[in-house]
Amino acid sequence: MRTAALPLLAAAAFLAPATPASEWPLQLSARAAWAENHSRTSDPNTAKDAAAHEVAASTGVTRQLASGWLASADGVVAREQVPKFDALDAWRFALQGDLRRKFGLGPLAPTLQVGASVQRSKFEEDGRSGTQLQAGVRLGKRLTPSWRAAAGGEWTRYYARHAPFDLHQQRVYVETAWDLTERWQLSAGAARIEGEITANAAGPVYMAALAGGFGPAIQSYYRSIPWHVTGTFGPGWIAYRVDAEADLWWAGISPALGERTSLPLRYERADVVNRVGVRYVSEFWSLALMHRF
Amino acid sequence: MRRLLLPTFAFLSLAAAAQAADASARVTLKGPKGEPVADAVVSLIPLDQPAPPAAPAGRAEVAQEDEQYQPYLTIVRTGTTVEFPNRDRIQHHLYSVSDAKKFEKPLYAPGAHESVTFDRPGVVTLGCNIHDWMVAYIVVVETPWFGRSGADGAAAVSAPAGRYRIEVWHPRLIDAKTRRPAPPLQREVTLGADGWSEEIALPLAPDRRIRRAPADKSSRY
Repeated sequence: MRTAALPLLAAAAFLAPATPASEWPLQLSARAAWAENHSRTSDPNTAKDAAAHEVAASTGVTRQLASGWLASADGVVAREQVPKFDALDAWRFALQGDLRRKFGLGPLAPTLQVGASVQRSKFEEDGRSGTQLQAGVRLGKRLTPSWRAAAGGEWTRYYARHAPFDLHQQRVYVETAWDLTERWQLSAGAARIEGEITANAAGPVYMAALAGGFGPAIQSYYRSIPWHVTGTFGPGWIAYRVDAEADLWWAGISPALGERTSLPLRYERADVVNRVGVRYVSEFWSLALMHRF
Repeated sequence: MRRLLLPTFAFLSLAAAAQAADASARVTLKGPKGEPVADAVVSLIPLDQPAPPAAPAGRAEVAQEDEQYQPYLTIVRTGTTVEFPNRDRIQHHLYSVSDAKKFEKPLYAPGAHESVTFDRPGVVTLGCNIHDWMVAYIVVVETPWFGRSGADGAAAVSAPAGRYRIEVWHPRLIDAKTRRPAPPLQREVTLGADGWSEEIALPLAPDRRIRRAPADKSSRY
């Protein structure tokens, strides 16, 4: 894990010294979100909805290595608060590096980007805290000056203090954005995740599963996976990790409030099915204010 | 001897042209909805008299400021060197893939500058390969008789009386049928002592620039 972070730190060290401070443009965002089934619970009767707020700041530097080749390094600090479930309040610190190849000159030239990031998360509920390593590849192209599309894949590994929060995922996605006007932008995307996710259950529900109340397949599987009593969403609540496939899709509309400011409104739905057919559906609405200085 | 004669001849030609510059071509440019069109380039290419004298080596500037090129449109004569200072807080790349001048300047830092000499007439579109919304135009002309339209859509170019080909170009000029970018509109005009004036309707594409505002990230799940 530490070894994987070293190349990113080395890249930042390589890019930073020759770079005046004025070249580190700052981007700030503030986001208010509403999540239906924030608890990622399979039982709709016990699912917990919640509002969440996030502020984030990021900055970075870019260097041209050769014609068509760009390297960039970015740092991100974010604070998320979930007032109803303050165990989920978290700080996030991330370093990410990208190498981008643009095949030609001009806005319509396709780009291929490979990147890696390391992110440290510190949750109020310490068992969730950990380090995430991520690597990804992304192919993007503007099909017209106002319509762009991208497809990519990501590999994610999360090392947490407690086993139910350890994750190993692969994700593929496609996304597109269409500028209706210079002010209004529509965007949409879809992704598929394969790997592990962390879900939660009220104590009685999980105990029923362990006791065979939902059938032998679920009983057998739930007895084999890591789980932990957290109390995150109420007394006796349990977090557990399952192998799953998740289908995500999202759509958004974003007015530009200025040349450097936008106010994206976004809807996202996640439909997750675990290895033994248990389904978890979550929906998210978010409104963000983003400004690039 | 020749070395002395040539500059003298060029100087006398320029002086004669300046003395004879007593007629004015005035055009009023309107867009598809009848609105005045600013930033159109109007130039007069003489058809009868000898080609205008070469311009003395000139200099012009297009700066990178606030993640834009300033100005958006620059008209220069053939042989002009244009400076591209980076007055921004971040690095910028500079390129052109236009036939009139193809070049690429790798990312350069705030405070640094690049320069390019434009030795062929034509329209040169400038871009930055990491900030797709940055665009500007340099129109390189061979004639000393050129101008640009103001906010009222009017442009006036003074030149000696005679026959000219008037060329009008705008960054959003399109072919009305194909809706594709079009070369300059051309028309033959005779500039008499009273001058010449006309209103010209330009088929223009909508004024759509690439959006600059920050985009939201991918899935947050």
